[in-house]
Amino acid sequence: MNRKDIALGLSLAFMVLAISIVISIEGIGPIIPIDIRGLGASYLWNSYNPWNTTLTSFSLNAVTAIIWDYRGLDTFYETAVLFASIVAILMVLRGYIEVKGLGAKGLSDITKTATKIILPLIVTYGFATAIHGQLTPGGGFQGGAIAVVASSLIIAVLSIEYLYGLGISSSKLMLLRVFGFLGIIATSISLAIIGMLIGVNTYIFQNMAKENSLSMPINFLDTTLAGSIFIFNLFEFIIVFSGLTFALMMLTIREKELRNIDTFVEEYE
Amino acid sequence: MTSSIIPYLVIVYTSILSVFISYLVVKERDLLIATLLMLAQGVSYTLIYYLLMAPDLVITYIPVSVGVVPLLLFLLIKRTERFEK
Repeated sequence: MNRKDIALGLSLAFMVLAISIVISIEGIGPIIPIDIRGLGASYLWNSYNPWNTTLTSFSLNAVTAIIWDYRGLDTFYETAVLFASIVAILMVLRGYIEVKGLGAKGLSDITKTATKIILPLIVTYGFATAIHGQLTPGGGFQGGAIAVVASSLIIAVLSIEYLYGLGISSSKLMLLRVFGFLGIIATSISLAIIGMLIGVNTYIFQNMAKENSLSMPINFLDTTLAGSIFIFNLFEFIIVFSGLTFALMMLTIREKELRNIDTFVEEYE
Repeated sequence: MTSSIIPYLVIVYTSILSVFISYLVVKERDLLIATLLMLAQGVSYTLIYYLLMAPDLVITYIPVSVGVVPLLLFLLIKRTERFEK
């Protein structure tokens, strides 16, 4: 045991101590800013403000309100970047064929059983994070990233054959991804199209009623739905989950599945 | 304001620790251990995000830094070599 190990062990022990200090003494005690700039104050004031219906988005979580309403177009382009990067992976690996029954084993039985118990919990937690994005911290990307942990656990512990057995293939994931992307586009322009048809001024990415009276659904029973924010989060969850799962599947590709890739590339060239 | 010095101290400590860990990650020859160290670095960043009032980032950063990135690196190490020459 050399000096490096001792230093590393000590510092990690101090990290555990730091985490426990934060949890025990401060509770949920993040550092609260003393002064808020004007921009931040206006977001905080308007993100859930039923008395100012032209500027509010009826979202209790101000961060989600900013991400999907006040700067929705930015987030749309971020989603498009994720979409394009997965397309790039597909371009490199064109000609890939899924082969089932190559006899991948995975880890031991104990690990497999424990993972099978955890999996539904992870997916449920991710989905809940996504659809409660307007109420609590989180949102579509966060929920999708949590749910991707489930598929990465499947690939690492239960092998990719289990994923095929669940009916998740790369072509289905591609379809799901395109469906999510089209859903976001359709949601963002739906009010604009309706406004065009009935002849009032509307905007792209319009959430709540502006000078016109068109608005997305505000409440579901007694919970705020924040209009398009809920729908965007749902579609973003689908995109992130299917896109990142697809990327993971591409990275665990087997050699026999790539047999056709050379001939395919030659044909293309 | 007396008790609120603790989060600042924790932030200072975790940020120094993350720099220390990243030095170890670069120096480590066993790439598997380097990946595990990166995981610890991710946890320390998560604590900083949490204390600086960014719960959205915490929720994204935990699955990405603890779940997805180590898995990708493990897959990469499995395909290539574990020890750096």
